[in-house]
Amino acid sequence: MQKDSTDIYEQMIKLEEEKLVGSALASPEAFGELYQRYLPQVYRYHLAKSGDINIAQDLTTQTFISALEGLHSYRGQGSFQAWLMGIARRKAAFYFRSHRPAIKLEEADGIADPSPSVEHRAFARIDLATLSRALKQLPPDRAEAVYLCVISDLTSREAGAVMGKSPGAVKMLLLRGLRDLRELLRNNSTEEER
Amino acid sequence: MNPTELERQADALDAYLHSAAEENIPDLPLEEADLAQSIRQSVSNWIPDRQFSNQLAEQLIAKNKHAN
Repeated sequence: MQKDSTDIYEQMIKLEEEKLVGSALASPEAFGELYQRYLPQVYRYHLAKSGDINIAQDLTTQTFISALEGLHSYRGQGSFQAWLMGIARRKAAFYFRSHRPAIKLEEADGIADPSPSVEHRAFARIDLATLSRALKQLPPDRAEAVYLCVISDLTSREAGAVMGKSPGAVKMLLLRGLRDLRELLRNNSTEEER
Repeated sequence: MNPTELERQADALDAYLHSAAEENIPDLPLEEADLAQSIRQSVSNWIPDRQFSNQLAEQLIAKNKHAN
């Protein structure tokens, strides 16, 4: 039941995306709609990975420019968002191959959630610096599953397309990644309390 | 072959992350689900600077016009 409704939802999104991509190939304004729709997911992905606003902006710019330049190569086999996040992932990988991760913690600490929901009490205060630092300590595939499925909102099928893995494998990576992350955040907060 | 407990939890977590309705999902690992929601709640406040997003939008429009 759950799977069916998710499938229908994914199909609807895909049809809408295909229309938008078709329009974007013909008109600059239509690419603007795709840009507005996916800017937050791409930006958050790069921000969580880098922990640095300037790097996140730079990689976001590179991602969208590459997407625009390569739009004609998107053939609609998977979702547009998965295709776009694949570009984002390659841009980040290329960047981090040639740069050591540099988290400007004093800057990043300013992006804490100002109004955490009461119902999310266990980990209510997760700021960028803490999250970014903790994610870097996870095995890369587990961290990637968290970046894509939690931070950028991809389904396990879409994340699987980006990572070259089956949806089932992504689900397991995500569960294990969140489990590792939970332990790391707990340990960090215990150390801070000492 | 029956799914293992871990597989059932992984499926439940995936269903939870993509369900709009407040459903009771069997086998849901509550702490991981709670953490995922907290992360989503936190990152929803990571909004690109307006000046940056406007400049990038203009850059993309100019590039697209030039290409067309």
